[in-house]
Amino acid sequence: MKLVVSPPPFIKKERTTSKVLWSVVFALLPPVVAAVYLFQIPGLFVILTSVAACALTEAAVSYVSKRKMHIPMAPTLITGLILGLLLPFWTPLWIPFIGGVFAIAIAKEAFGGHGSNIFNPAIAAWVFLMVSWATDTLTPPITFYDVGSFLLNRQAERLVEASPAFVLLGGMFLFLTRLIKLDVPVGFLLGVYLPLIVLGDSLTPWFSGIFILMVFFVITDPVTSPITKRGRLIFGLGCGLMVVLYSQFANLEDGLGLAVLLMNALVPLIDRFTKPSPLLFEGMNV
Amino acid sequence: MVSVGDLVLTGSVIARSSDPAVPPVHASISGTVTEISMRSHPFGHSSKCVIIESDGGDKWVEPTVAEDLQQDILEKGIIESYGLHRLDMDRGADTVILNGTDHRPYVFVDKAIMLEERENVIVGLNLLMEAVGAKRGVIGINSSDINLIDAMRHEAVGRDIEIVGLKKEYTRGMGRLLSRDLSRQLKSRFKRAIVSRVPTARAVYQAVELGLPFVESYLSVYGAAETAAVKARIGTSFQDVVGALGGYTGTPSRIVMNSPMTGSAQHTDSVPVIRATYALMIDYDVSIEEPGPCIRCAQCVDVCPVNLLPNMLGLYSRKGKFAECRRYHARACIECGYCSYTCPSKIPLMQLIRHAKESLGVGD
Repeated sequence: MKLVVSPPPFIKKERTTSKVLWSVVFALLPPVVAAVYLFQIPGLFVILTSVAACALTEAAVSYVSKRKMHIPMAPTLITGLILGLLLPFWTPLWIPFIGGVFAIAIAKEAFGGHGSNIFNPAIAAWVFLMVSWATDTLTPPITFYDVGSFLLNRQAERLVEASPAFVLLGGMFLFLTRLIKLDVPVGFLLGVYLPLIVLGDSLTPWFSGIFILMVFFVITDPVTSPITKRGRLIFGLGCGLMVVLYSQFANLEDGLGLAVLLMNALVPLIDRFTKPSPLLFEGMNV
Repeated sequence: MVSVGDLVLTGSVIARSSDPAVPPVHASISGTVTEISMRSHPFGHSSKCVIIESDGGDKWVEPTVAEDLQQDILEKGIIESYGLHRLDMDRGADTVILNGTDHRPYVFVDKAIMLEERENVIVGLNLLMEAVGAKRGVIGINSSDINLIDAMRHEAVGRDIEIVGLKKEYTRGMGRLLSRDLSRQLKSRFKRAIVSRVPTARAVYQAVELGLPFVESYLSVYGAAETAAVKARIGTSFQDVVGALGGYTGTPSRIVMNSPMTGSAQHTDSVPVIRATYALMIDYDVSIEEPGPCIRCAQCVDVCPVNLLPNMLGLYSRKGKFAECRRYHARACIECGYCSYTCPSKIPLMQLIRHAKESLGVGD
């Protein structure tokens, strides 16, 4: 009889990182399908280019750094899909390509790869593109919504705006399967809506697809949000307040990206100041 | 205390520690001492063992009557079922709590005992209360076992013992958390609570009421042909325990003594049941997963019962930055294994934290 001797615990929870990440890819499919339905071939090409650029860069970095560890594909796909969704359908294809390369090579791998990156790669690349090639990436803000345009917005130019409802659908899937924690989105929505109600501003732009994408897919990214319970709430709240602040001076879309990046940078600080104090026990009796 | 050739009765003292606070060891069968040698111990080392050749009669020593309850419980060889602890017998306590929630996965010894020996558990708890001078006893039971709770309540009528239903949770194992949750449910404070377990209460009943020393562990076995809780004399090999339940159902690839969260994997099934044994788990298909990178999902943070940041500790421990580990309160870790269990990237967090604790040393 050959017996395995190893340290405890001997059982593991079934949820694995790769399952979680593939579920996020799955949840991103509704908005992608909606975008391809509305924008047809140009829309599809933007997403494909962005995903392909991410995957190729990932492979190239792995090759150059002679990495032995197996690199999961799912996070790369997530970055590629989110970046593609954030761009307008008429953008020249070299834009998503450069964005994908930047997201993986600079925003992710240069910081130590998946799990160690400080900034959300897709958002960092998107902001980089907006700052560098504004005319190729910015779209006029959407100011009006009704039920029909919430389902399918024929005036939309940005891929994610094709159908805010479908983004919500994917987000609800993540929420209902408990794959995302709620403290960050709750903090975020509080941070956004409380000041807006106080200021008496219109709530319309906040039904946009890009906003919903941020709530469910971007700020909930575990890698770039705090690990402590209080920290996550503060992070969400901070993101929300920053967005409102930006939206008072510039348009909402730019504000979303910059607010997330700024709060990403503060994550180590938030973690440090919200470190919980341990419960002390005399004996070890578990 | 004994030498080769001696005749011993079941329950006679065969070994005693130089520390008077450590319970003595009793013969678990009657017969002749044939050998005293080093044998494999389920905790992974070798230990001095007294081998007794049975006379087949199982002749017991005379039952003794207690004069001082505490001294008697100690003398009968009862240890806390949590492991190597001696029984907590602080005379200032006002409440004795029994943890009957079977909080560990795949372990069901509490329920098995309460189903079979309801009255003995209640009497045992009463004796424990008497021993420390506590006025109040509380038993926590899984709230899903409604019939069991009713039966125990019925049994406890007329005594100062309350039965409380609790949701099954792994962290019930921590005495302080358990007593906090119980006092919340009962809406009254405990001045000082002692936390013990159902098997201990049963052992106390046998020791005091029947006058018999502790020579038999109650353990639940998961993974043999029959899944059941059995009584086994101290010294019975795991092989025989499994054999009594119909044997293995295949070629076992791992045998774990006690909880699958904190127990120890055995290199052989010929190690004996010891007083601290309360469960066996047999695995037939062990897959070892390669750990992936930490994605800071913070699930370990959310489950840690003592509010640590296990992922940070794991990170620093792996890099050998033990000073950082100290700053992250590595020494407060109670090694419950919940972080390793939860981690979706399969990082052996508890092991890393243990490594840090060992490197930091005691008293740091």
